[in-house]
Amino acid sequence: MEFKTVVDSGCATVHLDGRLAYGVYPDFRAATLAALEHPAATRIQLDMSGVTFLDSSVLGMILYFNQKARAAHKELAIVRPSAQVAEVLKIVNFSKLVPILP
Amino acid sequence: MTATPHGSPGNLKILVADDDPLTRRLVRAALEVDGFEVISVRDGNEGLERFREQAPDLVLTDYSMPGMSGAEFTRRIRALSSEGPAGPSVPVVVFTGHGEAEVLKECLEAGAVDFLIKPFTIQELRLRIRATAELVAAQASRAAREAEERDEIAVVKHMLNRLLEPGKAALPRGFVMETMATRRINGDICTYRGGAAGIHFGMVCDPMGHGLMAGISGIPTLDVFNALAARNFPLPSILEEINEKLIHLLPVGRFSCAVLFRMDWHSGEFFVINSAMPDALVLRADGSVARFPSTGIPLGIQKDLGSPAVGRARMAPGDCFFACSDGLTDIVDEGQIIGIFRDCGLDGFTDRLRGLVEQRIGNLDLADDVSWCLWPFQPGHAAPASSGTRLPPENHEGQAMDLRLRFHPGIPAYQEMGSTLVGFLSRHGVSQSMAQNLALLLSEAIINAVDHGVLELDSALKEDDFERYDLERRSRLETCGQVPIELQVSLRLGPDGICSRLLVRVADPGKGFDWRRYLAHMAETPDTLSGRGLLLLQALGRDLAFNETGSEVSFGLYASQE
Repeated sequence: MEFKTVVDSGCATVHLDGRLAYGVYPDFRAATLAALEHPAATRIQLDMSGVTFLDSSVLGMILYFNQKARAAHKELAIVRPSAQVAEVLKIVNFSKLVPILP
Repeated sequence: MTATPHGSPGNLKILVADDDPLTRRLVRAALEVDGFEVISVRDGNEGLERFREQAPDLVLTDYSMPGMSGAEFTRRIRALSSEGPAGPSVPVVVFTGHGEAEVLKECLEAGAVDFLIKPFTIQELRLRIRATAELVAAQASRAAREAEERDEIAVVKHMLNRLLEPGKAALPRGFVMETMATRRINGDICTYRGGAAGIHFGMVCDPMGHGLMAGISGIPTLDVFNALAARNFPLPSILEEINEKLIHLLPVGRFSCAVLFRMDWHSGEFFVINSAMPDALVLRADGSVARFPSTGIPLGIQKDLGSPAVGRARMAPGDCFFACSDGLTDIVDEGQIIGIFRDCGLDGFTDRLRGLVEQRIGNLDLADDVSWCLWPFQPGHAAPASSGTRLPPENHEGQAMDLRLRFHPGIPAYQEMGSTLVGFLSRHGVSQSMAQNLALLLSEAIINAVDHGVLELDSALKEDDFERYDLERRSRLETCGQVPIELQVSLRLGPDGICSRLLVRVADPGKGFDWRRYLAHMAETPDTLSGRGLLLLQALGRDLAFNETGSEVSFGLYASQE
């Protein structure tokens, strides 16, 4: 599963989609690193509108990536979470850790 | 593989009967030049003998022969050929020197198809034979087509009977299932299947079209129904399986309508699902009627059936369930059906309805197959037999399903174990929202068993360096060998066939992990990268419990949580 990264107006958007579990780590890593290392991107968004499933291992990946983004002085946000994703994020209070935008 | 009839023009076998040797020689020579096989005889008696021996395709006979006239010979040939394999189709052409109307009439009445007035030319003979040969060929080809169709019908009938007969043989006393066909094959299906003792399943199904076409469409429907009803599957699952089978097998544009029902002889609990059939009815002994209209779309069109509702009724003694195909409601109003039941109750219902149907049809051909069933609930009578064994008493209100899997995480496929299992369960009574939570919690419990139980990875490593964690995880997965993880899901199905609760147990053979520390750590440090799986298990699972060492976790999911 490859995730598309698009950079526009200083914002890199990683389009995550489908079923996200531990096995997606190599693709998640590749897509988020591409966003992080893009010179024109000062903000990074994880677009989760197309995600049908995610478990806590993916939350761990996002938090780890958040640490890296902070270290690189880039803001990370989760945008457009699908209903299923939003429910999981809410249960674990994820909005206290990473901004979640509708 | 096909059999060749000796019917195509050019290689026909022709019997020529004439007492005049010159005519016989002339006709033989002319026909043989054209490639026909010719048998010539001098009179009718010899002709009949050779006819029996050699089964010609066409007969030419003189009218005036000694011993037996051409008309009599024709009559006997017709009689013989109607008994033979070629049927009544062997045509006879009569030569006659008499052009009189009386003679021609006599020959026609005897069954001749054509004449040649003597003297005739070779050209005339050829033209007449060619026309008759074409007729023979057309008849042979029609006969072959009909024989082929008879074979096809026989095969489909055989298959349908094989699927219907067990139900017919086991149909409990007092249950009526009736069908009337427009064609040689009944497209409608009206069938019974016994599940566990005292549980009765039935289906009235109306595949699109009539005859052979509908009969063929009915075969997979019946096959799935029989298999799943015998195993007490919930009605929504049976419907879904039939739908999937039809989508897989039927060409686009073909579909089936069906009403499926289930009666518990002990409790009177009755369930019905109606997909595009006329309203099914519970005719109450007190004269009231409970109606179960269609809540679904026809089967075989689209995968998503849109969760058709399961109708439910509690039958009281003397109540009857009634369902039918639209072939019946086209000729008899529903109000009349209810009226008959109110007038004469169960005893006279079947005869009165049959009589009304026959009266409505009269001498007309049926436009559609007619099917209906009437199942009375009479618990005072001896419980009708059905094929299965009685369920254990503790399962009386519903059935249980217990799934156990053992796998080891060295194979990459283990990652799909949870989602595959949930996919299966969601087709067997587990609702969508319950399936969604189950998928998440299974994923959490499995990864917990793998990462901490089997691979003995410390989650703290994730916080320091997720990449190192991942590398370490991969390397341990490769070397961990055959370490069995046990997964058990126990479902309790409600009487409506929907899962009311399920219990999950995941156990690994590892040393376990300090689950108390993780839960405490989560509470103290919300920004930690680990422990969120436990939080989800706590929030969504009911009665979350670990064993002492943490190598086994169990939790429940309940329909009432939704």
